[in-house]
Amino acid sequence: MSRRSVMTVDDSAAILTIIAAYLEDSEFEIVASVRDGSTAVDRFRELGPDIVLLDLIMPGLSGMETLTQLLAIDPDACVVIVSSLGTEDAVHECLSTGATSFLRKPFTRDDFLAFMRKLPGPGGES
Amino acid sequence: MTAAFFGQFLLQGGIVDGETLLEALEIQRHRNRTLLELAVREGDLSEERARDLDFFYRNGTSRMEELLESIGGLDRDRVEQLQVMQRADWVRLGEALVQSGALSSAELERQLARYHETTHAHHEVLSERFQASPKPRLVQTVVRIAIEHLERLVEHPVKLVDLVTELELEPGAGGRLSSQHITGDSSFTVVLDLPAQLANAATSRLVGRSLEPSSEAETDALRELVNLVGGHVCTALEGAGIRLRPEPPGDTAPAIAADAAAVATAHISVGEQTARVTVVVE
Repeated sequence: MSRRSVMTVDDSAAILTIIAAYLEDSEFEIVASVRDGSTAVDRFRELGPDIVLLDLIMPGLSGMETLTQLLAIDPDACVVIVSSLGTEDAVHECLSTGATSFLRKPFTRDDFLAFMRKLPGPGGES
Repeated sequence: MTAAFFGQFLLQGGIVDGETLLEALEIQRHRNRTLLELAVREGDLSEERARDLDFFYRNGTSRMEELLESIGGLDRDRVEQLQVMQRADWVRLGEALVQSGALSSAELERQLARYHETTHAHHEVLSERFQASPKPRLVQTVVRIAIEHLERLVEHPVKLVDLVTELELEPGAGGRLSSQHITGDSSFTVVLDLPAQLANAATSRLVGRSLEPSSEAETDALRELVNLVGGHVCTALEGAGIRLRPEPPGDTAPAIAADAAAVATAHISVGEQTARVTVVVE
């Protein structure tokens, strides 16, 4: 089975590094790692990844603004918000805007992979 | 680790999907009312008075029931009546999920047990040590969560040594700073000041590989560390009805006027080293 493509978006290089390490040798392939929302929108248009892991709090184009633009390109996009902020308000806002799910930082490799495998789409358990 | 709210726990564990959780949250939002909202609805308080009580609640340490009596002028019987009214209509998230058919009652019980076991949900009592600090509940939460995150990343015991209400924002020799401004019902900045060796050890552990001291990668990881603290503080205080939102973190101390509002600095021992966590309240 082909690997599911993932684009990671976070202004923190640390998080991009952690996620890349966690997904190494897994059934997920990182096709782009970007550090700002505007670049994420451009790369999404070019690459059409199966899954987007998107930080919420970023300078410039915020996570929410980026989410809105990604969904305008593809309303069925699988966009997962990844954030240290796990308030009910934030989760509600993201889900009602159209995010597929919400992952709170920090997380272990095992929990992260289990979460990723349950995401909807080709190859997912959902 | 600081508890995520139950819905996030279920979502992250794949027990419910985003759509299902959203439906349950919507049910709650339509049904649940705070004591203050009920008091206004029932005519016990004007909206203006309610705003006053809300301000005192967010900036103090009293429970809303106490404020309704002491400042709102309601007698105890009336407060209790409002509480009964609140409980009668209140839908917990788990109940909403059962109502919508997403979970069975048995599965809900199972997940609640896991939630309480796994996340050690905090019911925080205000420690005497924090009584004198500005916004004591907020400062205590920041310090507790900073300690939790440091404990996760280092191999030494981590504990609060001292708390002072002074500005100590100049970094110690070789200290590494990261900060995050948080706004909403309160506006404040969290500043982490770690000695160089601790900063390097903690950030290398965070990223999972050795980082060059004072490198851009280490600076970036320090920003992420304060971001983790800030985000978890916002989540923890939401449980107390305080709505907050962090801004992107930085790697310098904010410019603070000499007569700036209120400051609390916690000295935290990490093995032989001392870290400082400062909360600057606007």
